[in-house]
Amino acid sequence: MRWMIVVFLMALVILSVQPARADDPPGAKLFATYCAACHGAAGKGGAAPAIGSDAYLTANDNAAIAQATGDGVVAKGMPAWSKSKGGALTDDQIADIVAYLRALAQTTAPGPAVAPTPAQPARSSANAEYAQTRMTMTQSPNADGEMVLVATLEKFDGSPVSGMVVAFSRATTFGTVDLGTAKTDSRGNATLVMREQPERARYITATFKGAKTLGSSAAMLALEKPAVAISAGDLNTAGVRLSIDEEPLLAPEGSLITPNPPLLPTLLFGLVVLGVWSTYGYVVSQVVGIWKSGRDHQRENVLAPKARSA
Amino acid sequence: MSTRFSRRQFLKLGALIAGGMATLGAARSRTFDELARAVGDTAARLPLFRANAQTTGELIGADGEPMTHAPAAPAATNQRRYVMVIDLAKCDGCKECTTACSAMHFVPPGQEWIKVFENRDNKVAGAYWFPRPCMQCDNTPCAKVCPVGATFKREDGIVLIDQERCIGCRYCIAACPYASRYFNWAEPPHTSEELAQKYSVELNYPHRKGVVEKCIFCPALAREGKIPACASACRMNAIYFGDQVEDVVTNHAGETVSFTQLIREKGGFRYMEDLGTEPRVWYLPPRDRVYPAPKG
Amino acid sequence: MFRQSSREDVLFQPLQSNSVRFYAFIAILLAVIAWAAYAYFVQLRDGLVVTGLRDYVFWGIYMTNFVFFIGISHAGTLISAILRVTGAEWRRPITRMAEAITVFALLIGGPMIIIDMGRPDRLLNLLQSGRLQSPILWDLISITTYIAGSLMYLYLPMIPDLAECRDRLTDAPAWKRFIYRTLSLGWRGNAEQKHRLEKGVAIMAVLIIPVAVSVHTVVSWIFGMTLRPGWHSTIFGPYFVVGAIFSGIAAILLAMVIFRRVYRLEAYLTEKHFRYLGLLLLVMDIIYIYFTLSEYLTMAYGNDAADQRVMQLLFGGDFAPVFWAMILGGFVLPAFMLALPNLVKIPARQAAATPLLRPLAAMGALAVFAVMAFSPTGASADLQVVALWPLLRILSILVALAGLLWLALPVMRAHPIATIVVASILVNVAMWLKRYIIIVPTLYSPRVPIQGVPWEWAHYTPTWVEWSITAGAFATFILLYTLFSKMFPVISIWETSERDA
Repeated sequence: MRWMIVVFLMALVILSVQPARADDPPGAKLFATYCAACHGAAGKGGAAPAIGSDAYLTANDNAAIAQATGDGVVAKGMPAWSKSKGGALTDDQIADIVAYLRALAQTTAPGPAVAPTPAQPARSSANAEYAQTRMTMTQSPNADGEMVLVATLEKFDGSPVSGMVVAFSRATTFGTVDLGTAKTDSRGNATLVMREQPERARYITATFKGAKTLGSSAAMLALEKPAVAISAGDLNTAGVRLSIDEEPLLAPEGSLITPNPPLLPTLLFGLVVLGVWSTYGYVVSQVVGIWKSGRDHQRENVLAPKARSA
Repeated sequence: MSTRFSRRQFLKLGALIAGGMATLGAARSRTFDELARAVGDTAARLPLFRANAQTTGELIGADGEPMTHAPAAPAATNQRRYVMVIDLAKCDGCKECTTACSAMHFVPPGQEWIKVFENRDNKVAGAYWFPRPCMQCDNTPCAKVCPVGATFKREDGIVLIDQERCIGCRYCIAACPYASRYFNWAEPPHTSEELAQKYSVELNYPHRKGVVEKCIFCPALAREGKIPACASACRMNAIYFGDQVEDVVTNHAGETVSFTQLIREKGGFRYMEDLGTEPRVWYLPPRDRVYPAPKG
Repeated sequence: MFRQSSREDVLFQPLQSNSVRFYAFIAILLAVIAWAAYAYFVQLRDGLVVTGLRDYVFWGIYMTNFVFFIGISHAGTLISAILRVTGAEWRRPITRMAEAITVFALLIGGPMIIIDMGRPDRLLNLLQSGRLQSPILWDLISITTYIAGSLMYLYLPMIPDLAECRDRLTDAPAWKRFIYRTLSLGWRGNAEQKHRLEKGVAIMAVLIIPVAVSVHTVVSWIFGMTLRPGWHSTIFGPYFVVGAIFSGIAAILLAMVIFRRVYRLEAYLTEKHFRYLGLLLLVMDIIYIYFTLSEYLTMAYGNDAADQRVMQLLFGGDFAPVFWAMILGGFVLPAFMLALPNLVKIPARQAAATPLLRPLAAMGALAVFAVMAFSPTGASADLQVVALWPLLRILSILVALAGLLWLALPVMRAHPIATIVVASILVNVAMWLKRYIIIVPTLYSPRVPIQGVPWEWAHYTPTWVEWSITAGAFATFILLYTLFSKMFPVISIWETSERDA
């Protein structure tokens, strides 16, 4: 089950941008010896996943890679390499391999929590004491109408934490959208300008994953009404409006779901049709007149002889 | 397991272990929930995860504490505008989208609600695969001409057909420039599974003779916050589906990205934009392809 | 007085007696209709799958028939309304026939749409939930208006004749006498009745013209309002209206010659009527050729890829034989047939040419035409004149046709009525083909490519069901028209005698 925990760690990772340390790769030889057989030369993939790929390396931080290397992925047939698990590698050697992978792919390492890799310089923690952090987040529109998110990271004693990477993300029905990362400044503020303006209020999360001597923290915020609201007429240019229930919908019996026709053309059209049909009506009245006249004529013919005899 | 270790897959897994709650059915509030739970389970390493009064005011997670989470705001259908993005650089023409769609909707033989074309705009650029679902146009040429209002546009962007009203005049087929509409020329072959369902415009089955059918963006799935059958089946992860109001699209691999950003940055376009139909399906150009181009 | 009554006896003759040939004719028509009814039953039972229609070519000869019948319905409007309004006296013997064509063509054309529908059982949805934004509703409204108007316009001028029938045909069967008595509305021909009748006819004659124009305009808009290449055209409204009047005149000419022969109406329908109508046909033909030219030249000259595909299909592709046969044989040839005898004085030399020489030359020209028109293009490889071959071919076809015309000129001069009637037949066939050419090639070239479907789904070949129903439609039209002519005088008695008086 421990690989699941690896998975959890991976799950926490959020993209961040930070130059990699291109240390000399003592891990290169180790990788070639222990890993390349399955993962391919330079981790390009083979029987096992391409762990040298950008996709993998951006999605996993050093701690996760180290742990996966040490503990193995038993379910997938990957052995545990850590000495403590009966493997062949020391923790330092594993760290070397991880460093090699990073350097290899020239990719970025998300903020490490426990990885024995070249550590994130924790400038804020002059004292080596472990400290918990907390975060708050605010929002305000800027002059361009863009929403500016400010996440403030501080220790529990109220002192700001600077130089740390805060990742912003947005939860939606269809998953979480990464908004990017920002470093905290001297006041502990990480600032992110949202270029997108989603039209419906939704939740923004700022996450700090922690550092060597800092605990992780996160904050969430319901985005205020955006600058651009949905206008009803904007929904679709055909002007079709249909509200439906949450239940699957059957078209209402005998009713129109599509929009009503535009008023003025309809009126004109109706007027023309009505005009034609009323003229028909007038002509029919002439026909009725002919019939009446014929009836009167007949009556005269029938009555006339009687009148004469009387 | 694929080499693309996407967060979403892991989140899903974590949630299954932690609470067994994140089945596909509970998808609407899934993502945030999972994130919170995943964080909670690793709380030994991450001592505090909390929101505060300035944000939502809700305590969403702390070491050892039971968690509550903010609802991911289930939206009424009329507050959504579904949108699809198809990355032509990724489509390798395997047609699994068509297969999955046909299986899911019991699509009658001869119809391909999402059809993969081998397009070739000119000789220089060469050929590329081009999946064509219904474009769910905002300026619907089809619904415009329907004499009985059997086909209509919903506020969430989906164009549906009421097969109980359609008179089978096929004028909508004439009006559709994308050839997305199909007609049931004969009584379609039925399966018991299909017939067991009660007809609904959101299912479009049980199918029947003499009416028009087409891709409907799987509204029943969208209602649950799930991506359509074609997108789920796309092993190249080329089909993204999402909500324009939420400004998000996601694909089978769970690459969840901002819709506007994706279109802007990758030069998204719409098929036959000049016809003014305002399609809701966007395409990303077939650039830097990850598959061999069609021979044609 | 005696002369006049003898004239009128001719008119009453068909109403009084039925020959064996008549019954045989009716039986044949009924058989065709029964067969068509069976075909329609099969279509209802199995669905439209029994037709040649599929998802690409989803409209076919049902729609062709629809447009064609609505087209010939314009016969009545032109002859009886336009000519009445303009006071053309020679129209009098023709009006009734023309008006009847209008009514019966509409009664056949309208239901063709229903036959084309996938769910005719839901026809009432058009009333229950009709959408005014749909051109089909415009059609529904304007065709209904047109049917109502033409029925009245057929009936009104018939009232005095019905009274005449009532008074004269006293030995007719009781049901016939009942119909005459009821429909003649007690017509006595007194001043008031005459006044009302003339007023009604005058109103209808004016009113029916815009209604008729609207009908065929709206029919064209069914196609014009879509985004399809070849359909999405601004001139479709007038193009269709002109085409409708064009085919309407040809239809009347056919009806005239048949009634003239069968009912012996030579005294009423003289050569003059044929000449005048022939000239009208010529005028409409020229206008129609002009419209056709502007339509296709505009499309062909531009670069729009979708338009180009349609043009390719017409000029050189699958539809080229039908297209060129229609243009040359249905539009251009009739124009010459109608114009030449009036224009060209036959040289004495040619008139005196031996009866032997002329048929021989004609057969030669015919042979050249046949070889050139129907030989496969593959022959060009043997001829080693690949570049010149198409030109040569077209030139020889034209020369052969011109030669035939020239040779036939004396014959045409000798038989003016026959010439005009042959031209009318050509025109009617061509106008049916023209509607087919409008509908089907466009469906062959959708904006998205046709891929991954069986050949039959992308091509259209009408099936026996469609041909049967088409035959049934024509049979029903002829049947209704024949029965009408046996029931009522096909020539307006009071109007023709009014002229004589």
